[in-house]
Amino acid sequence: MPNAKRQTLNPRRLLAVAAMICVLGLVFAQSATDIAKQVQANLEKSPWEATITGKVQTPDGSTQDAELRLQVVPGTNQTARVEFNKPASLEGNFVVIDDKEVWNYLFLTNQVIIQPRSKAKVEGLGVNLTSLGDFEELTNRLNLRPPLEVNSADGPAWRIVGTPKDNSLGFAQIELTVLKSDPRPVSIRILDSSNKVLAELNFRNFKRTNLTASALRKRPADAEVVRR
Amino acid sequence: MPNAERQTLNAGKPYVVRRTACRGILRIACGLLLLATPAFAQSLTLGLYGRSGYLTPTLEGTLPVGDFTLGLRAQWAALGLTAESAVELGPIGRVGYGLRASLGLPGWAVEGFARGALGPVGLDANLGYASTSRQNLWVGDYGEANLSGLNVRLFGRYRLSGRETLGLTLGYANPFLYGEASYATRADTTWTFGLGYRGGPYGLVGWRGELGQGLLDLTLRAGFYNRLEAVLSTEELKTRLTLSYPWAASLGVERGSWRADAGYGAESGIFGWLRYTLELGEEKDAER
Repeated sequence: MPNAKRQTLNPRRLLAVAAMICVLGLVFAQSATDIAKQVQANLEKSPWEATITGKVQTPDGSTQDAELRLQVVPGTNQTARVEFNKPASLEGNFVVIDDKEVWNYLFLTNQVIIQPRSKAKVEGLGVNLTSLGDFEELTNRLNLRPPLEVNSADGPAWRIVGTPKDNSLGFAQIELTVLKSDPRPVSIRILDSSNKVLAELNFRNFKRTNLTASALRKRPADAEVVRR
Repeated sequence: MPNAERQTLNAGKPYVVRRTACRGILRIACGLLLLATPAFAQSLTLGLYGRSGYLTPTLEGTLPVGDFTLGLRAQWAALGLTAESAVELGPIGRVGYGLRASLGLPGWAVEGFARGALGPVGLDANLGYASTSRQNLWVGDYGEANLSGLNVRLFGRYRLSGRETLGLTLGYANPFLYGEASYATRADTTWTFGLGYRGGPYGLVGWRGELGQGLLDLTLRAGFYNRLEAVLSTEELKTRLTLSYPWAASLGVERGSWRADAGYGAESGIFGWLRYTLELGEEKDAER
């Protein structure tokens, strides 16, 4: 038995086990990246839309119910539009983002503010919701942990946890649940550095559409256009 | 001593000197705009305005400088400069603010303004003073905006819910006070009801909604103050109509780069204004 103990504590064996864990970790990390790629490929097949419901933290620290409509047209002229239904104070506002520009429509002033994407502030509710329309770009900016298999309301799913590679995303951790049968996000949870939930959102009514980029840019005909 | 000489000469010919000075101001303005074009300017609008006994070219331009946008507007013998900026908060809102100064042969004016929305609150505020009727400095200032002296206007909005909005306007345009309170409810269309005071009480009813391919915004104020405003907007065309009693009317049509306005007012008589806007730089991409 003492020999067996000595074997268990053998430093070479410990190193070998540690190396295996690292290799396995790398394999799983690769898997998380693969899942992210599958999601991106699936979301790039055709235009789609989904309703996102849940709770978000506003800049003043309070939590509010959120209901958003996300519409995405993938491809060379990729465009995403987020329309706000809740909170009530933002109902009617929308954001359109493409490779070059961000359009912010404000219902109360009936203005569309157009800014270069590099200059625009689109997070507003603590997180940049429009980044959900470009899954690969989002996951490229994250260190992904090995995925876990879970059961979601829509069926078997992967849970991917990621931490941002830098501070530009405005959160400390993101948890994504991705449906296995139709690789797409079904829920998302975003936390800050003190583990406080910044946003907890569920994707509902996902459907493929025949939307076009110009349809996503539709705005009230009498809106004032302000270019910044 | 050249300055003293000029002053002495000017004392005898003030109008000629002032006219020459204004020509100089306009030349400098045109020069600045031409220098800024096309590398930096966002837009340049050239126009021709005419009313009985008065004809002037008009010129408007904007130039982004850092976080500010500088604006210039000029007509015969008057020049206005604007500096404005905004705090952008994404979908939460924005607060724009700025300062305008105008100078011309007839007098001068200054004005500060702020406009924006933050969550459920919207605000549009102006505070200004003019030593002369404002239309002498910019032909686009009609109606109460044309009055000289102190001009204060505060328009606030508050969203009771996603579908209901309260509005309150308080103002002073030398020499009278005015105010208006309104309630707007939005479904497929928006109805607005309100009461106001402007020399006497009046009622307000408004309707905004889709009409065929366009969007129609109608507002009627009736009582001691009477005014009908209608704006019909489509993707290609924007038409504005105003009708007031005591009798005044205007019609404006905007299509692409062209804008034409014509009307009749007690002070201006019949007037017409034709403008053409040159979109420069990235502005062309805005309407893709």
